[in-house]
Amino acid sequence: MEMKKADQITGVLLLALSIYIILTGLSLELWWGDEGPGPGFVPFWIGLLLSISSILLIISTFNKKYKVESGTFSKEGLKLLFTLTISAVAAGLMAHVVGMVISMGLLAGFLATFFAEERKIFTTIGILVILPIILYLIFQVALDVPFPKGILGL
Amino acid sequence: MKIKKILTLILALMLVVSLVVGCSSTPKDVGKKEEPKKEEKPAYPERAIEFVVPFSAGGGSDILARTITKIITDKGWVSQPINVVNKPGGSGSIGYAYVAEKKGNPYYIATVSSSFYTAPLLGNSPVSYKDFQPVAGLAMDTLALFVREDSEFTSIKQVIEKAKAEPKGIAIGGTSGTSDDAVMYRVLQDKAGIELKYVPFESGGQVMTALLGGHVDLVWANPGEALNQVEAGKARAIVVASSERIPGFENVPTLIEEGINAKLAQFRGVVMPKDAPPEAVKYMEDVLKKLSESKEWQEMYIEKNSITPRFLGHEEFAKAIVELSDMYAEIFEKIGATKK
Amino acid sequence: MLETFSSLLYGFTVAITPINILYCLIGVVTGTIIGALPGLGPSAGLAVLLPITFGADPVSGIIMLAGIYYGAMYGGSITSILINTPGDSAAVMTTLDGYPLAQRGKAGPAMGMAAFSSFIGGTFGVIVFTFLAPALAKAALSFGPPEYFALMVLGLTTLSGMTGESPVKGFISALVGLFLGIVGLDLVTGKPRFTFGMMELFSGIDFIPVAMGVFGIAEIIVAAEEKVNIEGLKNADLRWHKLFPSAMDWARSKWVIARGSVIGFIIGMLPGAGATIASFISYGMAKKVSKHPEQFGTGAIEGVAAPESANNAASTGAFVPLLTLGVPGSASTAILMGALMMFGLRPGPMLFERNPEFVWGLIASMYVGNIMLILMVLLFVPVFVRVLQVPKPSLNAVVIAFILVGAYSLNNSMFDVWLTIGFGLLGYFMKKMRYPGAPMVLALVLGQLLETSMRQSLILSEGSFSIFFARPISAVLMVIALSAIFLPLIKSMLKRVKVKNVSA
Repeated sequence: MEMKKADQITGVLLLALSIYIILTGLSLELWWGDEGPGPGFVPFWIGLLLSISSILLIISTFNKKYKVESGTFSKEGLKLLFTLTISAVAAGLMAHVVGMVISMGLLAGFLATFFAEERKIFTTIGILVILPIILYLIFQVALDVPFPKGILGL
Repeated sequence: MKIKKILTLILALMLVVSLVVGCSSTPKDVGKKEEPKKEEKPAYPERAIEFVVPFSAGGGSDILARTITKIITDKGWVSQPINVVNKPGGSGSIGYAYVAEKKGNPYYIATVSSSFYTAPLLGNSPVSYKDFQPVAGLAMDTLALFVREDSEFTSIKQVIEKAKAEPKGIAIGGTSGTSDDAVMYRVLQDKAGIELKYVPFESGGQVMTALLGGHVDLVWANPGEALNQVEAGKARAIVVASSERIPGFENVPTLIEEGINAKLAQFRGVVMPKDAPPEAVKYMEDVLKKLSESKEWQEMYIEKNSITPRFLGHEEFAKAIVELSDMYAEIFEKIGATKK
Repeated sequence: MLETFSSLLYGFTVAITPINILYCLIGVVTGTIIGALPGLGPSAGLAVLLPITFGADPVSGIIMLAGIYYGAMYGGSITSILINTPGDSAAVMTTLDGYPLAQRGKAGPAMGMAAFSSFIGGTFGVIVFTFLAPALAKAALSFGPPEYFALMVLGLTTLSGMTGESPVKGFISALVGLFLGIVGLDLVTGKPRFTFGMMELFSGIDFIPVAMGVFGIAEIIVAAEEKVNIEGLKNADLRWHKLFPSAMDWARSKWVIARGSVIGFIIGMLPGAGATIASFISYGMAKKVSKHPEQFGTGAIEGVAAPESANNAASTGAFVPLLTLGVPGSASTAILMGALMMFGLRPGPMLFERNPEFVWGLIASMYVGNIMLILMVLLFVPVFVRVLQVPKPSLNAVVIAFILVGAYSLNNSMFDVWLTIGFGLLGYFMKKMRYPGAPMVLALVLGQLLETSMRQSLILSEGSFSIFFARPISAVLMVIALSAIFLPLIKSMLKRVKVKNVSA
């Protein structure tokens, strides 16, 4: 997707967001007589300024001077983004099952293997084993953070 | 090469499988009842107790929880460790919801402070006092109205006179719109028939700074919070909101003495999730009773915070909680803050 | 004066006992490590380590906590420079030039400069504190809501220098940040705004998940995608003497550090403003007066010196209201105050009289601690920098795990983990579409204070905006802020007119 189209789409999305903010701002109180601004005052102005900026953004894409930069989103990038997000969410959910420490170790092991160009099994195993131990020692033993604990009690 | 691919695959599979499992299973300890009914040594506690503070470290509730824990642990009254855990956010709602979720599990206890009552009334919390089993009330805290040392006001009557002459001429500082100090400001306005300017700040510390800096004229604060300023001669109290005069502030009259029919006393205590086994409640209540009678408690908490000690067992505390909640409900109704 | 010296000497006799030196060292080391963990800054570090100090006697305990506090303040710069992930809000500005420097193989000098400017800022702060604390405390009290509002406006003007290629996009980024800042329960009315019924949002969106997502996670994805050339990092000269900033670096930074220290201390002393805003304003100022402002953001060494000197000076400044007035000015000092109370001490005006051994011991320990900090940093910078030699894929994977764990530890809640992942996603799109991240993150911090102070002021003035110009301090700050906004605008307009005339 080229930049121009992307800018136009985000411009429209931002405009929609700003309208939502303005409407919510209006539904809260804007001004309270002599008590100054109400809860809706600041949202209203932020929304208004945001709508102006997003319109400016959309207009700028039609300007002749608009620089077209090629190739903003690569397939590879989106794949990376997708994998990372899904695996991070999965690891977060898994924390309740196997415990935070182990699920984060699995996440790092998985990502290290996934990111690497040359996959080395020792690196993966190393991370899988060492990281949970380090996390356990720092966060659980030293800092006493109450992590979700899993079936293993870790 | 193949091995590596397989490995990646396995890892990915593990992630997916556990995701499915993670979604379908609920946390293990919810609703887990204490099974053993053996007539041996006390069944509770047989593992560590989590003492949840629904506010961040260093605040009033945190100090309460940590002081309790320190004394109990030093004295060895509970055989298992007690871990204080801060679950701040949503003016206490997050921590309270977290504990309420552990229904029937006596290994979670929490501190009680004013947002325990106010947040549910305002519709800002999914749980209310009905989701908890009271264990014990430990102390009663109240509010006092403070002014700067060099202030023109020496009594609440002068404040009222001036406010009547000049509506909205006096600025009063406090914390967010629904906390105790804000409630007292509204009650005072209502009962005395005056109008003040209420300036909210994010924390009690900021309110006190604003008072000392002369940016606001009056402040409702817990006596313990302002004690250091009073001792240093920077601020003084002109009236207290308790029903009787309080230690450390014997010269300061109550609102009722001054002819304003209003009071506010707030219980600090400890609760468990609802349906906690009665033996566990009793056990904890006894420990807290011993605590409240100890010299250390008197020195480390009561005196330092200029608080009125009053021990309530779980039944009396339950009654007190209902009364307090009703009182807040009535006030909120009057000022139109309750969420329908 | 003489009295102060003798008190200080007395303080040193308290601080320089083997046991207290040990506590100070433990505090500084653990503080630095915690600060270097993504997500854990001074306040989180203090909160989690608070219980550990209860075994100690009060003087030793507070010396250790103070060590954790300024150690963490420095530690935040380590991750900012090395992996573009600020450990806490005060370290955001350090990423802007620190990370580009690291990418160019200059991680060593950048970290050295961060250490030295932190040391200078911190030591300057302690000296001022020693001699002027009570007098300054009075001055700090004169800052009321209108003055804070003016200060926030001034802080916002520094954003104009960070808009990147497209001013419109920079502006949008800042507005979205301001919007995120208003999510949560309204302070004045208690009404929820933009919370969608989620309790976790009632207390607002914390700055840390946003910063870790937008800077940390997004940077990792983009770097993996674009296979950012990391030869510069790998070939970095790690010999010890190369880690020191060069004479040239010093020449460029000396006034920046001096200004940063003064600004940092003054702003740090104001309750509620603190180290983050000090670092913004110091950076903005350094850029404004620089002869080559265009280098800022691409790896200017002053861009590291300015925020680091300011935030460490500010962390010392924050002790002024805490110890002299008994009012905590920031999240970190609120925790320190809680700690003091648990030790049975009541911070406030009487503390100096009642517990001189405590106060002066603490002050003396800050001199000792700052020296320890710089020695330790100089010893360990080579070790830290070697982190960059870990193969990038493994480093990135481990960093992500640490970021998520750090996010959890903020409030002991999974919600912040989800937020961090979400902002990572948003950050990726922002990076790809050339929206600068810094304005959003900074506007988030400033926005909350901006709205609060504006509304407080207007309640006091019964709705009249003249209050911002009627009081001397706020009037001066407003004039500076407004001229910072409008002068460049007028300049660029004049330029445009000229260009048009030429092309016509």
